[in-house]
Amino acid sequence: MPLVLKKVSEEKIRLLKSEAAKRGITLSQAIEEAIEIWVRLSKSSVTEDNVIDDAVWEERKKELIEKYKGKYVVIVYGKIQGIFNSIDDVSEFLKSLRPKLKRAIVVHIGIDEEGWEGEWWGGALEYTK
Amino acid sequence: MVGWSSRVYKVTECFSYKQGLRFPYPVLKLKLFNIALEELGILEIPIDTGFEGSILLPTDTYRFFEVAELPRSMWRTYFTLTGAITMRVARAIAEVNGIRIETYVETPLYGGKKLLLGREFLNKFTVVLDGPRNESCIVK
Repeated sequence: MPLVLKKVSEEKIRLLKSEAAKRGITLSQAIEEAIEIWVRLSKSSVTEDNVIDDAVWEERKKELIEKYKGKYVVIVYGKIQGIFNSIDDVSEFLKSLRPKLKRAIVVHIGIDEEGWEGEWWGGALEYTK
Repeated sequence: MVGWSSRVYKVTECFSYKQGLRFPYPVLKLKLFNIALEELGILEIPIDTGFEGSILLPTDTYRFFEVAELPRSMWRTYFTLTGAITMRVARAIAEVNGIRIETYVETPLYGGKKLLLGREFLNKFTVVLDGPRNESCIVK
């Protein structure tokens, strides 16, 4: 979507353009990434409203962690499809679905971490030969 | 004073280093499956002990694993020399030396072509980096 912003610091925009150019991405992509990081670092629960499966996890996670810690949940088509004891059981379930799924949410309840932050010494995403 | 203890490791499998721009770099060879147990194939993945995550994949390759992705709130942020990078995260099964383990695969939210094996994965194994022989070996 088009977005017009007023009164944004020229210096900040210059910095953003320069970083985007350095990483080979567009200004729009840089702004989206900045929003994503800001939201995550703010520990906000804001998610894209079109990611229905993610929204189901957000809505139900408290209840799932209380009742099913250690088990796996599979969320597809905006619904919880099942709670499974092991990753092997999840595999059997995913294999049995027709047509084959392209994307599902699978969470190891109470084990997978939210807001995971890590380090990557000198990490860079440029392609190397 | 730090104590010394002798320890003998038995090599189970070794992989030749790959030629870098100037110096060779260590790799591990693994077979990857998505959680629906479809096989991606065998990859030789460079070892990066500076990367705290599991297995970093190029975005095109990562799509194979979206069948068991983690929700957005569990995607990861890495702090690098050039700033923070957000990674999408999915579950996968890796087979190393005949042993299958559940792991994570990751890819940058805004795309990337890096293939790396980080500490979260590496620390599940005993690995010897034998520079003079140009081999990385899984040992017991």
